Amino acid sequence: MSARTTNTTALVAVEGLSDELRALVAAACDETGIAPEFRDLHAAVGAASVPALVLAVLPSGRRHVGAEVERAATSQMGAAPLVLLCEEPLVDGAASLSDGRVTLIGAPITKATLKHRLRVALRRPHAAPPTNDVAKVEVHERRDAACWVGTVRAARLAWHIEATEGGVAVHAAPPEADAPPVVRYERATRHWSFEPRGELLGVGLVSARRAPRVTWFEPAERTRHALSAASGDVLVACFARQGDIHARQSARFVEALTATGSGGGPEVLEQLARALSASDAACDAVVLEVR
Amino acid sequence: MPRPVRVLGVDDSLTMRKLLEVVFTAPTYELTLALTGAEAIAAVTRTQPDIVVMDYVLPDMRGIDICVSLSRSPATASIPIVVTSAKGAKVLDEFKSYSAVVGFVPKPFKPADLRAVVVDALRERAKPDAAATAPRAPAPAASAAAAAAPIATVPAGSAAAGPSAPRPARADAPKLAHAELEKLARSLFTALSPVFSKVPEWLHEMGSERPERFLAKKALTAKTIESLLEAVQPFVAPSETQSSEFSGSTDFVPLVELCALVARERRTGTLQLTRDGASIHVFVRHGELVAATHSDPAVYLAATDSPAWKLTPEQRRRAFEAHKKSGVPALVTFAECGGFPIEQLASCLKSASSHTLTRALDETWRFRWSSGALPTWADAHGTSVSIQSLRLVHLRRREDGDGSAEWAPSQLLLRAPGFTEHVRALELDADERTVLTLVNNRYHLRDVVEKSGLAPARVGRIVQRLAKVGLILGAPNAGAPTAGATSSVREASRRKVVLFEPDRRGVVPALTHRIGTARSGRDVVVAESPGELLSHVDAALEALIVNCSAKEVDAAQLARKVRESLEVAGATLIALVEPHDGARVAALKSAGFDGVLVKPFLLDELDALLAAA
Repeated sequence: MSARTTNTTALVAVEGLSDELRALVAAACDETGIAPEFRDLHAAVGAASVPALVLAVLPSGRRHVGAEVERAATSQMGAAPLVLLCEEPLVDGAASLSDGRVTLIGAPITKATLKHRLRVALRRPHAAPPTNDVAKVEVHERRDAACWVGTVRAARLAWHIEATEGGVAVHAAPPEADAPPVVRYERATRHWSFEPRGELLGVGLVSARRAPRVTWFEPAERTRHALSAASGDVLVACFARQGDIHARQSARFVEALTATGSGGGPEVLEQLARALSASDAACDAVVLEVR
Repeated sequence: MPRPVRVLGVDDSLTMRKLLEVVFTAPTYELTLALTGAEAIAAVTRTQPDIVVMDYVLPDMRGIDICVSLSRSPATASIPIVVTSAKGAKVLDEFKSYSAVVGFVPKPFKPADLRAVVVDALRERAKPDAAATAPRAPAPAASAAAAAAPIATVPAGSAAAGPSAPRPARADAPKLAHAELEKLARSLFTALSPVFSKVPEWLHEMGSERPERFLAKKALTAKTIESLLEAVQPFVAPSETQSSEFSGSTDFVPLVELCALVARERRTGTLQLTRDGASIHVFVRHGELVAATHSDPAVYLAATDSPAWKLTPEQRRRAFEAHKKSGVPALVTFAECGGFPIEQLASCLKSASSHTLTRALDETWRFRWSSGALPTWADAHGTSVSIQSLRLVHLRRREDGDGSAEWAPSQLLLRAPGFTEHVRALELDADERTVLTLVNNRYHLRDVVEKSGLAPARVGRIVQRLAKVGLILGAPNAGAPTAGATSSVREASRRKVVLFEPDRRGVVPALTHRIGTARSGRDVVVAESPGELLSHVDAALEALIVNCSAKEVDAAQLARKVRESLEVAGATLIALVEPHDGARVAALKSAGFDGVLVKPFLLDELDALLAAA
């Protein structure tokens, strides 16, 4: 991924921010295409621009954000996403609260983790331009109301995504009359449902909050799965042309998934893009992360 | 290690076969049983026994016929045979020509006598010149004690002649020198010291009761008697102590304590209780209370007699007569004359014994203990009657008032040490089981009341009762525990979660990390197999997490085993299933699992299940 110039800014509260963490935030913002604006929230200085999100440190032992941070993330900034950099570790590495509005990143914070969490938290309602340098595969990502969505296309198949306020549905090609989507996330009920069918080769579910952390649903099962969704769930739907002898190389995806750290959807997307670029597998993938 | 002695026992009487099982036990002996002559001959060829113990009269042939058959083959002709019979030593005349017949034991016999004859016979056979021994004539039974007798016999009537048989006076009692007696006196004084120290405290409770009676009741506990016996022990040979008789009144040493005492000392003998012309005999084998009879057959049978039994009035009359005269319980006679299947005899005897003893608990008896062998029927059919069960019945009857008086609502209830072992021996009623299931080192008395749905006073009484039979402990004042109590509670509160999951890389680390944190107070044990999983099931178990999709797991059986085991009945049972097994959720829940988690399940769901438990 390369750094890009952008007008998107992030307001970073300097209270409790160490030099090391400040450098890390600056680097992560740069790689995500965000301009960081470090500011003392106690000082009555107006923002240079309306920030897309707010970052603040949550000191060890604290369970509430300070009034200034709260104000910055609500009234002043018009409900900007809030990313809290925790000084203590979290059970699951990172957590998302209030329908993705608040993101907590547990110590130790790395640049990769921060970068990926920023991408998920950032509100980008429309398709972003391709974010990879590898011509062989097309990579897109966007964040909708229900999910963060990333796509990687190496086979360039005809599946398509339908994203609404109510959730996300992925439809397989070729289209079948009245056929339900092969993958669906329903925001109201917080449920996943999927059925390996057509060009959908298989579905993987990754979450540090689940056991096992990675589960791959084999296409041979041909059964519809339904399970409750949880914040942080990353679902990977893998598509391949029927009869393609390379289709079975989906195992590479599983391998890529198991290597996933706490970066969530964006990290999985990067892994897939890299794996597909380096292989003969003609596959497409959709990555969904529940906020 | 030498191989066991192979014994073939031949008898058509179940009583006798049971007795042979008592006499010839592993690992010294390997017993094979046959009911008929034909079975015996086949078994000899098959098992090549070292010795045969056979009844003289069998359903299909007489003992002599077996001898004839065995003598025809060189492989079996020299196998020694011991004959048993109720017909007296005259039957030996038939065996004169058979050198293989080396012993005779008249019925009824003591187990030790039969064993001695067998041991002697085998020892004789092992001598180098044994093979060359010529056929010998049997000696009269009365001269059996003569060492040179060719056929070892036991005097008729030497078996325990019933509980009322007088014991010979002890002519060989140890004589102690004055110095020894002084030492003994000092030793007894030391043994009583703990009692003396409590006397001032007891005097406050004495009230208007007669002092000697009150103090005897307080001081002469089983523990005191045990201390006194221990004090005496060094001055007499152990065998002398074991064979001693002692007597007293249950006013001073309650019957339950008396039974507990002989159990602790692993005594064998008979405790005779007498009162107003009635008597009860309690038979104890190696400390195990195996049977009890009442002198009045009607009282004895009150809890077991059944109109379904096929008995003629004459049979019943004879059984009652035998019961009164010889002490052989009417139940044994009923079974032997076909009144009911003899296979049910042991359970009927146990039921009648429990009934007899629990009735006796409420009354005052004179008691006399006599060490010695048990009658044949008791040895053969007696089965263990739990002393703690008697204590429980006793407590149920005696308790009154509000049990919560001694136990505050905030009292944290713990399972007592040895819980698992003790609970198996008790016959608990439904409410006791309910309460006990809730006492799992986590709940206070008020929680148990709330969750059981029983009246607080009733729960209080049950808790007190179960504490007295050694199942429950109360952590001292949960509100402000002492340092020792806190540590004891913490120790008891450490709980165990046992996990069986074949996915060692994906699931086991996640679960152990999640469940077994230091703060959770839980230890996680990962079992390699379902068998190992069950081996970890004990009172400390909080939860069992099992992958029910694993082919080696029989989920329904596992759930049943856990749920039927009272000491872990309150444990949480969680099933994990693979995604393709999602349809089994309802079935597993109805099998007794508290929760079923379909992979990939949320760890929060697991937390919720454990927390709900």
